[in-house]
Amino acid sequence: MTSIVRLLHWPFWKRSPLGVLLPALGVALGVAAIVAVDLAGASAVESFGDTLRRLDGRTTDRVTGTRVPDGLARRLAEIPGVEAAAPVVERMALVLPPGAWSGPDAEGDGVPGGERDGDPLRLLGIDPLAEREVRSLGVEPDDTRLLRDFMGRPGALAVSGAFLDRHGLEVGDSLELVVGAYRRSAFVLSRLPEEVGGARVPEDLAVGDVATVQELAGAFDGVDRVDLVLAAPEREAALASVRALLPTGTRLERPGAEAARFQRTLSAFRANVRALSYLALFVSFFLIYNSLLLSVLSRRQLIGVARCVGATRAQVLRGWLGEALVTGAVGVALGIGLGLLFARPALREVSRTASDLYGATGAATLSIVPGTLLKAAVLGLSFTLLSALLPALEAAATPPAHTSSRSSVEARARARRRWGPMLALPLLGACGLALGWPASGAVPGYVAAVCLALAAALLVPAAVDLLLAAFLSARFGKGWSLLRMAAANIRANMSRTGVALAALTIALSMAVAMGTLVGSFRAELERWIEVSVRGDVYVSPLGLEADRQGATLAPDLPERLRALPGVAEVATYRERPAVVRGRDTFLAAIDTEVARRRSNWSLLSGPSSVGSRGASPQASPDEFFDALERGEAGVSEALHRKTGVGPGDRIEVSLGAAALSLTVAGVYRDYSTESGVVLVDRRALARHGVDLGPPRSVALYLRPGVDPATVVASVRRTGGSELGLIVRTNQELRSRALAIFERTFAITRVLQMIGLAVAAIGILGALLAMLLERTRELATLRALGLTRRQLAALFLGESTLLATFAWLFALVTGGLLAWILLSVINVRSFGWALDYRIPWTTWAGSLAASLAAGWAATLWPLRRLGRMDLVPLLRDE
Amino acid sequence: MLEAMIRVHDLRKSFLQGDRPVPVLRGLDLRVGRGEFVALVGRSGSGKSTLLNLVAGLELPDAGKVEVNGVDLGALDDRRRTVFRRDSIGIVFQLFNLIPALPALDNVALPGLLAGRPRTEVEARALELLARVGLADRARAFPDQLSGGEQQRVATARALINDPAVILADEPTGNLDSESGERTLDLLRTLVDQDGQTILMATHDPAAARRSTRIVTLAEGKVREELPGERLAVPSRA
Repeated sequence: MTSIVRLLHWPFWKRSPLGVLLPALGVALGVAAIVAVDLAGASAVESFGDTLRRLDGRTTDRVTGTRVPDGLARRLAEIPGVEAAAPVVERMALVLPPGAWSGPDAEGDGVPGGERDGDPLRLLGIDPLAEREVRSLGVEPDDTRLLRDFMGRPGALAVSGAFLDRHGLEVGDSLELVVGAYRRSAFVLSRLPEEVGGARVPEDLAVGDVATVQELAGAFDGVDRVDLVLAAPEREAALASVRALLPTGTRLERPGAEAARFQRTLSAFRANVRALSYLALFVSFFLIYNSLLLSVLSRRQLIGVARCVGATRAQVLRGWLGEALVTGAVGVALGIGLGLLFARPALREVSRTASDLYGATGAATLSIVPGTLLKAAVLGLSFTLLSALLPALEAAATPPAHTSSRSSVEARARARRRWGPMLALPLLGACGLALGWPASGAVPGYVAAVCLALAAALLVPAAVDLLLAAFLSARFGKGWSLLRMAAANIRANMSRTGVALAALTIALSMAVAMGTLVGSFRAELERWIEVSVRGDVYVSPLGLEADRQGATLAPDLPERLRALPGVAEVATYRERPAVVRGRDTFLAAIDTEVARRRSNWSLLSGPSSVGSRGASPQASPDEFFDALERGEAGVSEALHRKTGVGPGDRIEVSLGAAALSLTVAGVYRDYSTESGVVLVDRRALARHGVDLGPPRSVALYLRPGVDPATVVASVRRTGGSELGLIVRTNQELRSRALAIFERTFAITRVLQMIGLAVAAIGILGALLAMLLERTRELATLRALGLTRRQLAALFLGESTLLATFAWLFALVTGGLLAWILLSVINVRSFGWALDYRIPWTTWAGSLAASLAAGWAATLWPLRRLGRMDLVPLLRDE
Repeated sequence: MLEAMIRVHDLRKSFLQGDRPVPVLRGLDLRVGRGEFVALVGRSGSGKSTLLNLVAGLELPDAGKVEVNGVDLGALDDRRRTVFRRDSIGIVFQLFNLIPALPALDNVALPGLLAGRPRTEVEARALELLARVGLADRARAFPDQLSGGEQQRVATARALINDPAVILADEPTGNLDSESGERTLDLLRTLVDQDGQTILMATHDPAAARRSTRIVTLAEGKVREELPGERLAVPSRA
């Protein structure tokens, strides 16, 4: 083994370390993408869950509901078997920088830079005397003076040390808060310790007395929940007694439900990003295969000699697998390092998306999960060994003293290419099978996508061979000689270029597919915004940035806004989390009367048509609104596709303690949340005896000719110094929705770029190999009168042809992949069936990306060529 | 006296061996007239190939002057020298140096196409040249489908495509069996006898050298002696 390594491997690593480093870099980028995305996703979920678990403490059960009376905790604490019953009020607040609030005349959204500069802070209102047995957050009731201030001084908060340090705050400093739509003042009473009993205190936590937080939240009627610690032996009996005491509007649930809900909500997004993170490793599979195949080809005579002097096939095989293992190990080590480096920005992106789309707030800290690193390492090494297997077998199959010519190598490569289409056919069959698979999840979609990509990779070299043959047989006039020669070179060196071409095609296909998905989605979103965002001015609570679930406007605000000069009418939007057929969703109430007049709703199926895709001619908005006013409900497309609920169905909408039974009138288009929405009329809901509380947002419709900017200023004045409002014009709201959309896809774009970079490395490797094998040929061309510029043009011609072919095949493959993404994966992951739109600029842009990758890969070989003394090469064998 | 197609004056060239410069040409003078077939002979390292490379403009001398068809190669920049070589010099290599990706016809046509001449015209001329070297029926064959002798004949046809002022041949028979070598020399000799082509050939083979019109022996970087070779079959055009 050692002698094999000495003869066949070590000298080449020493002479050309790039040979090992380039594929290792490919593996590294693949592993890095997986590590970064996995760590970011896991950390976002873990941080959120960790905070909740930390706040749950020893809680075994929880009483929650729309209104939990103040005195309930005391009564529950008296039940035998209840060790502790602690009332809790919890809100997310937005902490503004000192002096940020400059009153109602301020520019922007009520607070200058409020949306950008505010930092979320979790307010936890507790009863310190009841807390001892539930959780320990460092607010010790033994310190009498502190306890007196904690319970007695308005606005007193104990704030986590990390938060104080981040904002340069100290004990005694005041805090400018926005809770919901209200601006409040509080102060730092004490600093929470970083750890209590070995457990970390969340970094964005402020603990206050129940009354303090109630006051800050403006919610004086009851608490949010009562956390219970039940003694295990008497648990069942205690639970029965607890249930007996529960007033209407409350229910029992287990702690951890919220964390599980969050994890479920984020799972589809995580799965999609994670799937894309495998792209780079998938592309690097081709890179390693190609790189090792090139090594085998360039060392074929040495292998023959080694076999001649006694090396067995097994030794040669092991030698090559060993080389792959070294490449893989270097790549994995480098990849894990890079992954840890990329994980932080990736976490920032995932957290932002979690906050933008799913309402998760709070600082997520990066946790290094050894399992993730191990998984990435195993994947990286397995991919490397798997991709090395065929080249290693090719090396082991070399007969003793074999001195095959380049042409016989190419002949064998041509024979291998013939296998490509034959292997591609069953893969395409598997793709079709997966698409027709009746499973509900997105997994069959991913399987179909992978099969399609693999089939394309197998078909590309053979197809390019055919195209090049056609190109070479065509007759072109003057000036085409170099391009013809470039084409002839590519065709003659398909053993080197074919696989690199396949890799570039795959990377580009994903870019085309994702571009098409994003383009189609964006176009659909714009259309939806166009028809649904019809108000002239929108008002929502500033605290919405921190608390998407709980922040609401002042109950009397709609009336005050209606009275403003220039305002013709207002429409309110109320929303609350709900459960339908076991799925977390939202119940939303609108003012149907205004919506009917002002909006142009996009119905997918209406009262008299069932289940068809696209706006059915029978789906009349008027009939839909009539039905809502009668007390029926609309369901959004996402909920319809995930639960199968459609027009005519009865649904039970669970709001925790309360429940509603509604008839579905129609399915409407909605992209505000993938969790789906059950839409009802506000007045009809009141007839059901359900109140969703104050509105989440208000749309103002202005009288003709009124300048929205004037009304925006009036709304801010209405808010005065007490209310923290986000006031946006129609245009601003649309821009923000699209900005969030673009942000959501930022991480996918980075992953595509990484995939392309790996493919470019593959092209670079192939071109370098071609250069090294063709030095005498290139020297001859120079001797025959090819100028340096023409030589550069020849190389650029080769990379341009490779890039163009890759692009053409990527359009076909990517176009089909996009269809799978839009029609299968997206529908099953998010519940949105989007119309297929070809984003021509994205498709053209992918040509630019392909050419850029190809040309970038040409620069190095050209530079190397420029430094070569070609004259001696004319005589080289 | 025949018009000078190649004029070399006081040519000097050294190569580095490690850090030590090793002189290969030490003030060489040579004149090759139009229609002459000059064979350069000498031991390995005597400077034959270096002289050919300098005459081809593939390398630049340390000192001295090389003129081909009246053009001082030292006065040209890299691009002009390359273009001059393409248009005025045909090269035949020992290892044939055909482009493996191109069939024989395209290999022959290549320098003409690189010069920007119309494809139809160049291909017609390439076919004519292939016919002349006896390979008209092998025009579509790739280099690896041709024998060594056939490859060298294709290379010779390639050297002629731009009607060069001179042909430089570096050991054209060095990689061929005796029969193929003889056939290649016949071809070169025919070019001189029938077309008045000027050829400067480096060779180790005394039999090959004898087919030239003049044999120039190099030793220690200079011309040691000059001997007459075969007489021209027909009088030179000049």
